[in-house]
Amino acid sequence: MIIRFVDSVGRWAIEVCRSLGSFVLFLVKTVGTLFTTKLKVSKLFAQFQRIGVDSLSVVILTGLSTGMALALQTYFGFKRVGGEQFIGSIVALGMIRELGPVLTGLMVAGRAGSAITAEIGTMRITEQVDALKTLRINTYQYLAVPRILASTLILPFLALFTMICGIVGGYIVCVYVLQLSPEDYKSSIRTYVEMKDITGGLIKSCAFGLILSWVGAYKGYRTTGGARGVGRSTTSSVVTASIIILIANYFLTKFLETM
Amino acid sequence: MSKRPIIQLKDLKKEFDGKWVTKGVNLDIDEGTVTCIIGRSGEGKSVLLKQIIGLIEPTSGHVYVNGKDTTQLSEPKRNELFEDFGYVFQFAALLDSLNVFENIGIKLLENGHSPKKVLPIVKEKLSMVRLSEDTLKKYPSELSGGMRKRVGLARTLITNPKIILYDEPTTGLDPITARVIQELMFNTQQKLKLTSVIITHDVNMFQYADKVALLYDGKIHCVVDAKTVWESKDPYIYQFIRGLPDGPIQAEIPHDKDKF
Repeated sequence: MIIRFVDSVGRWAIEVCRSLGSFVLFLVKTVGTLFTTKLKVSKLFAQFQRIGVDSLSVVILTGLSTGMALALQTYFGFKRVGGEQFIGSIVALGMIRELGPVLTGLMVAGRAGSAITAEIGTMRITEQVDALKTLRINTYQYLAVPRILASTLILPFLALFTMICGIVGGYIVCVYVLQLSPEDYKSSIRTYVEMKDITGGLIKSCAFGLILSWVGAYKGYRTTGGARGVGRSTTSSVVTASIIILIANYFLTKFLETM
Repeated sequence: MSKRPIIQLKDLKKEFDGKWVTKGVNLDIDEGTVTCIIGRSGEGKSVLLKQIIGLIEPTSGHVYVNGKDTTQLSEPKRNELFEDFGYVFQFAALLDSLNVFENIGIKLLENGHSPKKVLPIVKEKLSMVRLSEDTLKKYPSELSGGMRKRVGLARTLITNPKIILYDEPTTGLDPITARVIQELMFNTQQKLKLTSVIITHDVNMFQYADKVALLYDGKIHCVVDAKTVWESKDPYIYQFIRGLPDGPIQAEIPHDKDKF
């Protein structure tokens, strides 16, 4: 009984180590390929379009609704202590430091990360990836590098959109719904938001872009088992990327505070 | 003049999750010949082919190409050796986001050649597989099964391979298209003096082959001359090529106990 338990725990531990190793190795190989082969700019721009431009509507909507709700919630809380003039800074700091990068990461993981997994996964099960290998085409250069690089570079821009839309959403609620002073909203932001808040938010979103595309591409590469396998990989990709983004957010916040 | 083996498989074994698919395959493929590998579905023929070209790592055993053991080579050296190989997939494995021109020319385009320079080469390969230039702008979803296989062959030919591995090239095709593909493969083989290894269930393919090898129970049971395969007295070969339910090879479903 005890031996069987130890055996199964041991097997599980080995499997976890193997999966983690292969996950990290995938990124190492991709980064190695990025620096040792010629970058295909046209492929990179195609991914900017698919991951970035095509996600714009989603992040704009996310930013607006979050900023509006945040302004409303802050107003109800701050009204009790007479601090309505600080709503602008709370909304701006919340959107720039936390909500903008995290929500953008989660939304793009759901939209583009899942698409990356589904696309590469389908290519995997239909032997298209094998076909590339038999032609001696570097599959990391062809599939992983453009997606991961594009996602890492474009996420800060998307996050910027989320932040701006969030702040604008907050402004709309404060000025047109709650009838507060627009000057209070703006001056509060000018007073309390610093450049390091913005750079911190952008650094975070860069990291989240890397995480969601890394997980997406890796899960696609490891897809087996037909159409069901693609579905399983896609779900797993979104869940895994979201969890890693949320965990990484805490450590990045801590790290950026010490800088 | 005796031909030298260009590919040698020595005690090749592959295990997936505790199940041995190939259990010690030994086979010599001579240069410039056509070898058909036959065997029941699920016997591991495609796995064997993928082990030859390095798509699947063998659990143990050796694959010699031109006398070099590919299982012991570093990845760059192995890739260099496999430059001489072409692989035609069962369902062509065309990249569905690319059109026919991009699919056939992908290797050259990825190597940095301009589309202008690649176009005449693609057209040449397209005519070799008897497809018109109208197909160049079509996507794989717009092609029939036979056309896809021909595009797959053209894509393989663009690398000027010396050895082509075919994975069930005529499966799923009507008899006429299958015949066209067979003749195309044979003509290409003759014209370019290639070595071909063909995984097939199609007994009509034997007329173009030099050798027929039967994969049974994870091993090469026997290798016979393709010209005399129909006269072979080997009970396994005899049963398999005639598709007889009775014999030493067990049918997947017991034929005399079927109750529907």
